[in-house]
Amino acid sequence: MSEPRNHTVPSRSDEAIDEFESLFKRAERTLYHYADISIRKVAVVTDGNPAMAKELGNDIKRFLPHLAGQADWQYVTGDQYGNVNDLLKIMVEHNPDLIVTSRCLDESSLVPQHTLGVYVDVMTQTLSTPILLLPGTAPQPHPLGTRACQGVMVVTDNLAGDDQLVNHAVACTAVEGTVWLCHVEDDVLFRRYLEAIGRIPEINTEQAQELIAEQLVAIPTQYAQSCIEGLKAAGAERTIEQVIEFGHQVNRYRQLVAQYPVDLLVTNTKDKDQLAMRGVAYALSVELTDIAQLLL
Amino acid sequence: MNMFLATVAGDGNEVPSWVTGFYLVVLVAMVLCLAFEEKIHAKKSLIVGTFAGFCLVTETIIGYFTDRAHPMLPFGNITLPNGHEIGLPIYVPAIDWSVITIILGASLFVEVTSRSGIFTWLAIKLTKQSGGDPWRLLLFYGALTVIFSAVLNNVTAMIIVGSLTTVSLNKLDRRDLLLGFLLTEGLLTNIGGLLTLISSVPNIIVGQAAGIGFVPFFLKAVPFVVVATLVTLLQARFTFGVKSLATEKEKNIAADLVAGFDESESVPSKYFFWCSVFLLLGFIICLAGQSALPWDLDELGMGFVALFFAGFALWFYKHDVNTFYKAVDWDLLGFFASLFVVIYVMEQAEVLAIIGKGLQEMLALPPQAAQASLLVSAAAASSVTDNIPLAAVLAKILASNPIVVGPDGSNPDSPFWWCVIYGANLGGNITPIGSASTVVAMTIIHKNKLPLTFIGFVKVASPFAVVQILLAIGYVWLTSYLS
Repeated sequence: MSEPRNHTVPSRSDEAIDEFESLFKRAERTLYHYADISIRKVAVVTDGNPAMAKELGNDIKRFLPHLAGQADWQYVTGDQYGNVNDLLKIMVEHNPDLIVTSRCLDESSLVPQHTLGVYVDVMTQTLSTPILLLPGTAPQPHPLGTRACQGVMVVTDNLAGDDQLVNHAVACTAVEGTVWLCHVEDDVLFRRYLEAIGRIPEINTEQAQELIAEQLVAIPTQYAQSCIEGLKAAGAERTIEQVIEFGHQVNRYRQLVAQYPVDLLVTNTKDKDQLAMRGVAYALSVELTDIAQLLL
Repeated sequence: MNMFLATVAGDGNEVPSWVTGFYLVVLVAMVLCLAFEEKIHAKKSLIVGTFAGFCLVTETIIGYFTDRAHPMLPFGNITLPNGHEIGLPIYVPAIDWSVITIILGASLFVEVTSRSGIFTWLAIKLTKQSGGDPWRLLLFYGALTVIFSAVLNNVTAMIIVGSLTTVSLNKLDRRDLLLGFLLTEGLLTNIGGLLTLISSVPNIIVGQAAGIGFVPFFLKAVPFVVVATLVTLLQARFTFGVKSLATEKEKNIAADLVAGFDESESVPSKYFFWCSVFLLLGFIICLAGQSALPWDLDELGMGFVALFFAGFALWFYKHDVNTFYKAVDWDLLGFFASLFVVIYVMEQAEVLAIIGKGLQEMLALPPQAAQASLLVSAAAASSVTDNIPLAAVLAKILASNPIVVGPDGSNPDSPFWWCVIYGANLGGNITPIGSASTVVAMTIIHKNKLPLTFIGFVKVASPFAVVQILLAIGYVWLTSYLS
């Protein structure tokens, strides 16, 4: 027979302390800080020959003009590496600020579905360098388009405070282009927590649902507003749109990419304490292969 | 021992000494129970209520069996000033309703006006003004604690400023200073509680017994509160190593972090916010000018002013008044009511007369020695038990002592009143159980998993308390000399 569980009933002062702490935490704002993203060394990694790599480099310079003038470009072609370790050694040696590559490198005989390929997979896990994934795959590349990147979508489930993500997105967007700051809260996870809350008699379920949802949306909304103000103050001439909502993350991002004229997705791949690629970032990078993606 | 074998002369009847001795033991037992409230796990109102009931029952029965012609409790009708007689249970007129109404009205008023966000708005605004500099933050929070303790009460002040301190120091990544900040704020609540007549319960009780007005009280308390606050803050700076930021880079980072606070978030309605500001000012002005109110309105008393403003403020939440009624600290009010009954019974049993005789020897010392002894004794007693019964008992005794009240039977300027007020308030800074606000400070400290034991608190806080008590003694001597 199990013992009855005794939950400590908070005293009035405990409740009041908690109430005021919440009030002050709610008044906290995470402010956006604009910073110029400086990329001096770009490594273009292909499994083709030097001529193809150069041509690809020109496409990238057209797509991201801010890289063209100042960046030191290095081309790593298929004849320079035979396996993942070779490629990693080259990358460590070159120490680029940005790696540009394609999915499924060196997979010419077979085109696997829903994978980044072993080279990109390992690079995303072992290197801290941002990786720009080109549309399509190495065996079946998609064209980058003939104009500079006009529409960039920031894809995250935790927008607030991620200055780096926003600054990279802004840097990649042509002047007068549009940046969509998208934050999709996982509604499946939210429903699971609500189910747990629904079993706790001390918490009013309806009120909890309303208040938690309100706060989950308020935090990224306030940050997005701070981004708009910060970019305006910094003189960055970009249009900033925000999409902050609940939904199934992968499905909703697929819909958003279809809905808006997006040329590039920018997403975080790792948490501070996580080596492997994050679930949503990985899912998007293998599912939305038609679009360029910047993995930070 | 002889004292208890003798018969104590009362008002028209004589109380057997063993009865007085018995109730003295009961009083000591009650004080001990209050001191060990946490161990008993019972609320104050229940502890004192039980003693009040016990005292009433036993005194009635003892009176029945000892002298039926002159029972100790004066049962019978109450005669009103207009000669009209009404029947009230003996425990109703025993309660000092002016104190109860001040506490009820003020707490309701503060509960409603605090919903306007006025206090949190001010707290966040000052945080931003500090630029995140630790020393400026300590100065601002210290001043805020004192002001909030004076206007609200010391528990609410500690909750508001302590909560903000936790949030802001975490944001500034200065958790190393959290313990020092919280302790200093806890100590300052009891200094702020000295500022006005309604800032703390001992002030209300002693002020009512002495007949000290709101403005004279404030004017006399201000210099001490200002000096004691500054000295405490300087002491805290050196004790806890609170320094200003040195480099421009550090200053910019800190300023940027606190700039992220949005004070408007805590203001639900600008209209209600400004109404609350004016109501609060009106409340303070009316309390200050209560004795000068025209058309006999002054006769309604401070309690009525507090209830009037509370009622006025409640109209802003006319559909939701129940929330505020629930928020009233009924335990505190029940505690007071019961305490007054216990003290009334003690008065009838001549216990207060016995204590008064002991006190008389202290008061008969040379004036400076008498004042210092009373202040230190009150502080020592207040450090280990509740300062409210202490203030209530001492106020009752001093109100009938000729050295204190003089030949006229009333002397609001007597320094002895202030000895009790300073002692009862500042004694709360010696131990973590000395006052309700230091208990709250400890709660916040433990909530933040900061290591501080009972002894640890005493070690850190007692040098502060000693300095404050010495300052108070010096100030009482000075004001006594000047007057």
